[in-house]
Amino acid sequence: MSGNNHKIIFTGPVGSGKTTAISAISDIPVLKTDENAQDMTKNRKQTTTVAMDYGLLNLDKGERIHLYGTPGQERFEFMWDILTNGGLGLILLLDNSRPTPFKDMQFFLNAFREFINDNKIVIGVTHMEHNTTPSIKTYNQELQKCGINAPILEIDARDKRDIKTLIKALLYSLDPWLGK
Amino acid sequence: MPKQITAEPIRVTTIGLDERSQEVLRIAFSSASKGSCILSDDATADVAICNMDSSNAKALWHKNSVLHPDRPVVVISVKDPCLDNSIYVSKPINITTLITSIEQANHNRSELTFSKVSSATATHTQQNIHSAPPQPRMDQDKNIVTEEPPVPDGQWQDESDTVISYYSPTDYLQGKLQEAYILAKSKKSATQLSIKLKGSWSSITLDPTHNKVISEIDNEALKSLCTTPICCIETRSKLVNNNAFFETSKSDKPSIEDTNEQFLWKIALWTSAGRLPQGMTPSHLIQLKHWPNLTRLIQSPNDIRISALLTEQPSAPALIAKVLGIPITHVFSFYAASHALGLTTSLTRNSAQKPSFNIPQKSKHHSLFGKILNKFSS
Repeated sequence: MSGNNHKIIFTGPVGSGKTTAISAISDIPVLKTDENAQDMTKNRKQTTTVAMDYGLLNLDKGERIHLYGTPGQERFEFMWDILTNGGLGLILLLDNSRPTPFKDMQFFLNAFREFINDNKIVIGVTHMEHNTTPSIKTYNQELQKCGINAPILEIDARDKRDIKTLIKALLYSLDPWLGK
Repeated sequence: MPKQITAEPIRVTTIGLDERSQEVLRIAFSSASKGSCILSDDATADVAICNMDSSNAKALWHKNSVLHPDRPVVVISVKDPCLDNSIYVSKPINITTLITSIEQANHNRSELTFSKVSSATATHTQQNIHSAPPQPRMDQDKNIVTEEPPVPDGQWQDESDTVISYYSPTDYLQGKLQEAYILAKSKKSATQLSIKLKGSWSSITLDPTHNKVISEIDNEALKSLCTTPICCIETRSKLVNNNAFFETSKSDKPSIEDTNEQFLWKIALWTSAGRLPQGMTPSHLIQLKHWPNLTRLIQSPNDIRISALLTEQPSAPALIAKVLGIPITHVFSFYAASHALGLTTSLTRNSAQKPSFNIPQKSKHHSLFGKILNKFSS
């Protein structure tokens, strides 16, 4: 079935909420490949994704959308190309509580540049409730410096509505004819 | 033998007409209207005639719009003042034209249909001033755009065939709030705007420094206030220091807290109510600087779709509505809110150069994407 290969990829640094976001919308319990954090990651969370996360959206007539979460650590960068192959779009989650979120953004935009050129990206900024700066406006300014025009939305990765809005923004960016 | 049923005469009241003119009208009605129209008091009138050339016409018009929002008005004036919910009859008055217009206004009121009518003399233009937004506009020459929904989805009326409602934010609470915000920002303080509602005062405190707005007025009441002309709202404002602001936020009165952006977005959205801010036209090219933070703003119909299109390339509201197959009023409201947040840029159209608009391509995954959206909607 053709739908079986469609996927949406969630990426972003450690602790940005990728696993949580996939869990919020997946029709199956998310398959996690967490390990106890060993390195610098341990300062941010006890366990971290070392291979990938996997969730699923079941659609009409048996079609499915696979939801993949990339491991956040840079040493797993080699996996990202494999995961994005055949992807419909990219969702980049950024953690506003990290010390240099703009560097994170630039890093991931560069890492996925080829995919972004051919597809679309949306950015969700997490942990803004307690870390109000940088603001979404500043993120937009930084993004424009990178020559990319994409939605940047404040989200709570646990909130299903926020994740749905993020994906809707991705879909309408990919195809403005939707809904007509 | 059954009693013959005769139509009730249309009760007509006058606004801004002196006694002599009223007397002339009374005589004219009794002769020319053959009893179809009679002068009556303000409270029981079906239709009002408003003389827009009287000294305080604008204020009287506002008062009438607020007190009798459903009552149609026949506006008489030397020049068309372009008012909503009205039929214009130019001076000098032709009594037959006036009576036809009154009958039409009354018919529209009864039928609640606002289609084309055949009067050749009454005219309308596209713009309105100080309009009463919730009322559908009655128009004799044009098809009608109302807020909910003006044009059924998927149907588009050409711009030349569509009546657009305009408004000025400064004529509403939005203007007052923006003024208060600017003042607070310049004084590095907070501003408290108090509004009299049902005899008691409720406050809205704006603190640009802390990016907070605390409102004691619930959203439903606030939404209603947004479309009430500011001249009909009793307000007072004062600067308060930040400590006082936080005291307000701790008060026992129920309150709603927003960021400045959230608050201004919803105020602009509700004030627009499907109308276009004055100074803009449906064919004016606009572009979004970037996406609004839609997950934290009050939802506006089709906001994601409009954002997706307007961040990609400049376009005109009329074209956006056409391409997306959505009511143009949705685009107007979205524009008004985005503009209030400073998210829009306006492009001047070079008359020698036709603006190019790349019609977006349908994705090869169109059907699949549709299924995802359906899933999220259910």
